[in-house]
Amino acid sequence: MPDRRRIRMIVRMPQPRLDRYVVKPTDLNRRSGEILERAGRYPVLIARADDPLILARHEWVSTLLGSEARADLLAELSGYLTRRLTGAGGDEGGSFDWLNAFGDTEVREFVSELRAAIRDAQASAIEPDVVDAIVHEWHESAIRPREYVRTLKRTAPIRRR
Amino acid sequence: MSEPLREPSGTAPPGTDEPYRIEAAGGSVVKGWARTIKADTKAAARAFAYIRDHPFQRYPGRCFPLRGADQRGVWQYEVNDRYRLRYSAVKSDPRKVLVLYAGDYH
Repeated sequence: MPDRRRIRMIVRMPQPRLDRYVVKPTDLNRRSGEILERAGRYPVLIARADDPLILARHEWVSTLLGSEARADLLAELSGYLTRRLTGAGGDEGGSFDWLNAFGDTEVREFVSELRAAIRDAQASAIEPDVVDAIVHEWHESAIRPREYVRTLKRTAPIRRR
Repeated sequence: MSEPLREPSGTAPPGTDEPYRIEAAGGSVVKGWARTIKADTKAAARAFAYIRDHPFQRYPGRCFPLRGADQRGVWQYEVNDRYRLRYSAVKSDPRKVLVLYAGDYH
């Protein structure tokens, strides 16, 4: 399952200054214990001439990478929707090309559901995982095996939500 | 014509409420369900128990109503990362669930 904190982090994650604690590479040998202890609380910048490094908690780095991935996803969705709603065509080979299985009204429903979930996640009313679940559920709904479509046509499901 | 869906071995006994009866909408569903059981019996047993006990209870990302105008009323249960069950309620029998699709489409 995706990291539950990712969405919250996009909105609320304090952006630490990366140059608050700066050490030289040679300091790593001289006072490694102190530097590791400090890095456990706040990122430490190891100043190397051409290639500075950051020593930081695994959790912090993985959260940062996760939120970046989600930001990319939302940017892709935004691009898809812009192209589609302006009549410039859908996503071609993009992450959201599966939305082409739906009509405009349904895409609006998807966006509306997603917006409500993101709003609730920001307000901590729901777990951020629910946002991922909504994208997943719509994506799954776009998949229609031939056998299923045939059966669906000859039965009349009664609405139950 | 519909027929009862086979209960996988190892399926937990029903809860306190009256269980739903699960039926297949046709031969292709029966075959797809047999393939599902063969591929992952434990997960199929969990799916069967879930649908038998509370088929219309959301479990985000696992059990949910499908979206799209032509699929309103159809629910999906994800057996594992490959196999799916799609089903709906039956107007004439409120304690029956009709499985419209069972199998692997990934």
